Amino acid sequence: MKRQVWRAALLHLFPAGFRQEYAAEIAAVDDLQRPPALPAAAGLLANAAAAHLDILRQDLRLAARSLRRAPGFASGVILAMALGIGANTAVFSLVYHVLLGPLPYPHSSQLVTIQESEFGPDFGRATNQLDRSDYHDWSVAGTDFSALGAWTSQPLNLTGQGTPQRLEGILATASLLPLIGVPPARGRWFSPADDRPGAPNTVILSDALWRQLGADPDLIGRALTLDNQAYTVIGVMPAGYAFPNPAIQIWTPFRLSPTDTDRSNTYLNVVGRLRSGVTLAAAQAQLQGEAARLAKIYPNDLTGITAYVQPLAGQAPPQRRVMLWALLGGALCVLLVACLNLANLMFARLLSRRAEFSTRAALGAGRERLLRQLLTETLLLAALGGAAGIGLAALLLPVLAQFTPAD
Amino acid sequence: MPEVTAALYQVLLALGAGERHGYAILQDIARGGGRMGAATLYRTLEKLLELGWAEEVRAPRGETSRDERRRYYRLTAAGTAAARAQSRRLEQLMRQAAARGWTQWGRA
Repeated sequence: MKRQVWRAALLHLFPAGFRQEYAAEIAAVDDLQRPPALPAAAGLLANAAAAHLDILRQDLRLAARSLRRAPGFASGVILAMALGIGANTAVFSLVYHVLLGPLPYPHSSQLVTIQESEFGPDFGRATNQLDRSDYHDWSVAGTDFSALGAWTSQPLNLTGQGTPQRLEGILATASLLPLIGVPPARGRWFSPADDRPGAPNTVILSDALWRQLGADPDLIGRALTLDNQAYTVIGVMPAGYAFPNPAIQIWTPFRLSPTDTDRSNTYLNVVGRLRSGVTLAAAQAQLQGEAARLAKIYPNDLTGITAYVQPLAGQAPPQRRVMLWALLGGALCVLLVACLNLANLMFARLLSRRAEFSTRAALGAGRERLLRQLLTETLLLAALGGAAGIGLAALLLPVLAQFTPAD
Repeated sequence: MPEVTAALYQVLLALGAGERHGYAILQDIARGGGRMGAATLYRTLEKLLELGWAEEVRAPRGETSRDERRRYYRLTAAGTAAARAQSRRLEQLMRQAAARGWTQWGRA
């Protein structure tokens, strides 16, 4: 490439003021000196960068001084930014974690909820949990799933460990926890033997409950008294494990009978894991086929009942979802108001500085230089506001998480 | 007192010999065993002008320069003082280096 071409291009990297003053001289001297191309180009690049850095340093010093002389303005701007950025960061983190982000389970995109749907899934859907017989039949027919599991709420009263307390718990089929995929931190899952009707009572504890009971590793194998019956502790889930929700403290086996014929009592929450490569639509179609087949055999109970499969992620209960979306809307409003405030503050300040700028321009400061100074000042404010916002978000997030209902 | 970098000092030395234009400064530096590129030179000259250690002079009398717009530079009193101060600082360092046997400077 011709020397003049790349030299002119590299000279354009220099700050405008410097370029106007010295670019011609540099070109002329370069023509006389004729250094080899690579060192010359490197020299131009390095000096351009250094020149910009010098200006940045100068401008930052000026900006800091200027802001220190206007503390009201500076604190107003930083506060507005902190509130807007902080509120939105905290709320969006929460919304993402609860509704949008993947679940903390292996291959969580394969996890789905399975419900019964009346009046067809295309309109006016009323969804229900499953009844026991449908769960069994659909489990058999659902070959597109690597496993299905069912659970239902079953709180139990713990006695014999200090003051009696009511524990939030669920009945879970032996298939359920393994299909979610997070193994217990201690002990083991339920085995099919534990899940048979008439099997001895067993229980898995949450990490929080285990710690509350003394975090004794030898607790596994011992019995706790729940609803006046002895339950052998066989395992403890890892800290933070929250299936089906963070409030659950104990898991006990469902002990369903495979020959159950109840088709009207719909109270099973069913979760499945799709086989790899199987789409949700295909799996749903498979179950719908089975539901149609069963409806012909049991028209009294199952006419119009079909299957409805949805991803497990984002399955927060409706009140929680509404609350979260409302929070997000509120945070966005806060951001909007913050932006309007910022615009006002900056505009007012700019107006009050007209005299300062015209004096500086008269003294020889180029327009580009002045604009650059303003930009640096604004960036400094933005950096400070952003940092304050992140700090606020860190404080706000646990508070917000407390206030959204867990179930 | 702003830091006197090597580049700054080299230009101060060159200007100490009298008024110079840009290319002449580079030639002086080259003759003294150093090496400087055009961009570095003019950035350094800009800094010297900002510090008030050098000033610009239009082509001095008697010079028939090919380019009438050529700029010449010369040290100001402040620049000379700064150059002297830095030289004394370097002198002290050179004395120590001589004591270590790293340089013959200062030996007759």
